[in-house]
Amino acid sequence: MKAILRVALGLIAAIGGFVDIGDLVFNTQAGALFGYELLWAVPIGVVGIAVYAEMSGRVAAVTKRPVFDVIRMRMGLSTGLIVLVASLFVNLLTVAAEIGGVAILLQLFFDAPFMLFALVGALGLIVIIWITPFEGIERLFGYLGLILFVFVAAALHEHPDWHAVGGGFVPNGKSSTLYWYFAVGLIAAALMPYEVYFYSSGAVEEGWKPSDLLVNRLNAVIGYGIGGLLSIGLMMASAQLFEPAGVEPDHLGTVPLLAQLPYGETGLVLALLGMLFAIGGAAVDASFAAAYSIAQFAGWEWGKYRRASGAPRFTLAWLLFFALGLAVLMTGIDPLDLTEYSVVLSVVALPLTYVPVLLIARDRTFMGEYANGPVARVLGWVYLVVLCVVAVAAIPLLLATNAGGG
Amino acid sequence: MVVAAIALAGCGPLSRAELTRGVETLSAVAAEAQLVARGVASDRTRATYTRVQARTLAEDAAHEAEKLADASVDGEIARQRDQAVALAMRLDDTIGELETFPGSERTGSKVDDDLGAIADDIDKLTQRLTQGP
Amino acid sequence: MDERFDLAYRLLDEQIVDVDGRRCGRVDDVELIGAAGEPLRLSGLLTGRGAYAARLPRRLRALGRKLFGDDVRGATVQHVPWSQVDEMGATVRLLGRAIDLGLGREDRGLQRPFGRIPGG
Repeated sequence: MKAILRVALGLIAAIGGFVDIGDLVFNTQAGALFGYELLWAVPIGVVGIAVYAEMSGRVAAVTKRPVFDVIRMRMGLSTGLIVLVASLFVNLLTVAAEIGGVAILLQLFFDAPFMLFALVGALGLIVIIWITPFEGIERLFGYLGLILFVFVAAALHEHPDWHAVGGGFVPNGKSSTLYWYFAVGLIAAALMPYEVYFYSSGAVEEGWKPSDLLVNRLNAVIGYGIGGLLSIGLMMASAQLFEPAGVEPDHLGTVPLLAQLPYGETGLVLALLGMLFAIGGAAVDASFAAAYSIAQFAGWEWGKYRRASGAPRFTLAWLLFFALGLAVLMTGIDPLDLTEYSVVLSVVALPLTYVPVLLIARDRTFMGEYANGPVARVLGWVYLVVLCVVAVAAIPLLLATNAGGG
Repeated sequence: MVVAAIALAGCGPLSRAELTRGVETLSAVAAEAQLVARGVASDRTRATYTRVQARTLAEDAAHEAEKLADASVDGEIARQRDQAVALAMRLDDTIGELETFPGSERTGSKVDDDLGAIADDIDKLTQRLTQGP
Repeated sequence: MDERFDLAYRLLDEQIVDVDGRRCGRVDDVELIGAAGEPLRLSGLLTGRGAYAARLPRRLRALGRKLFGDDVRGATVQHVPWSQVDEMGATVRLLGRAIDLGLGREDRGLQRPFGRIPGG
């Protein structure tokens, strides 16, 4: 059962993927606007990302190829370049948004100018990444992100109407465009490609071998399962506390109220801390995903396990991404707007990212006996359809709802 | 994501629906500000958090006031528009008190009450808008 | 015994790894030499950004050259003789070290500055 303790990679990937700045606000808004009626979108996202993370982790453990290696190999240089450029752009918006989120949270602790805290936050993250080995980074952000369970506690604190909650797990026949915009957005946000770039590269950083496939499966299931639970907790708490009051959560600072209302100052502090580590973890996820992508595409040496001097261009790449993220923030764009654009733009890259993963994972010449079993096979194809639906629907919905403005 | 980013200037006169949406935003800001105020009133929150969040919410109210005031209106809803702007400014001022005295339970209690009154006025305005001329 | 293999499938775009297991580029292109009607020989691998432009769709080649540079042997592109290739598996493994084959120069150049920073 020591395998259970090795789920830190899954945790940081999941927390960075499921409760980053965009998810925190988006899930809260979904609860405030639609009560429990969008709960069903969360498990759909969880199962999808868990399936693909498991696949990408398995491919990495067996073939030592993380996702971008697979993309370059399978799709060649031209197409690979397109995927690279698109995903780097999305990652940049994501990094900028997460650093912005860190800055906002620091402001809520110690009132000082936003850009100052953006700089402090970015530098703090850089120092932490620099001095901490990969496993340490995973554990720090993954475990401390679990503080967000205060929101799950808040959701249960109010003795929810479980009948209504259960009803939320069945999709509503609603025809409201805004409702479907949120549904698509929630699913798309759960499946963002940077999660599998990070997860699969992390598998190689950790040195996973075929004997670690159980650990891989546990990481994917437990990690993303927890991420999903946190999202559900957030949505439920918001449905109970914000919807009746008519609050529209448009700010990151609104989210901690969900823990402050039942638990007072302690709840507030826990919420702020949990959010800080979750969003910080997401910043690490996204910037590393970018560096992994570039290095793996070009064939450079890469990985935290190589140390900075052992993989200098890779190191420069993630440092540069933090710098560029700060530059984007200096233009004054709201971090919440940034994260919304990044989610919507990423949907276009979704099929390009996941199709190569699926094709390799099922290919016996690469995977031998570890190729997709029946479960992975079925779910892999089902979710490919889901991805395509999401990819097609996202931008029209964004335009139709004026980015959720109604 | 509820981004209230409709550029009203130069897009024709303010419609009833747009004004209603603006007033709904004010209602939501008031509701959230009340939650923050109650936290202060019962000493169950942190002063720094209150100050920063109150500042954000007050800016929301002020921004809405500007947006509505800048828009051109047809005579029909002109009065309601002016009432909305006045409410937004009252909201801005009231929440501003929370920003100035984020640790005072008395202020928190007073702001809670004042916001309740503003919220009632917002509800009345919303009713007038949705019920038609 | 001649073994047939698919250049595009087994070689192109694969990760190159030197004898010490160091990653040192990808097979960005392959070089075949010979004349029309005569046996073509695989002279070696090409690795480096200077090889990108030639592999882009025709219309994008000029843009590719501007972005990634021209094919300048020894600078933007390195040629690895076919005789240096040990095996083609999950990676293309070489017989020699990257440093001897002129690969991974940029990483080596940055090695010292990074090594000086504590924790690097």
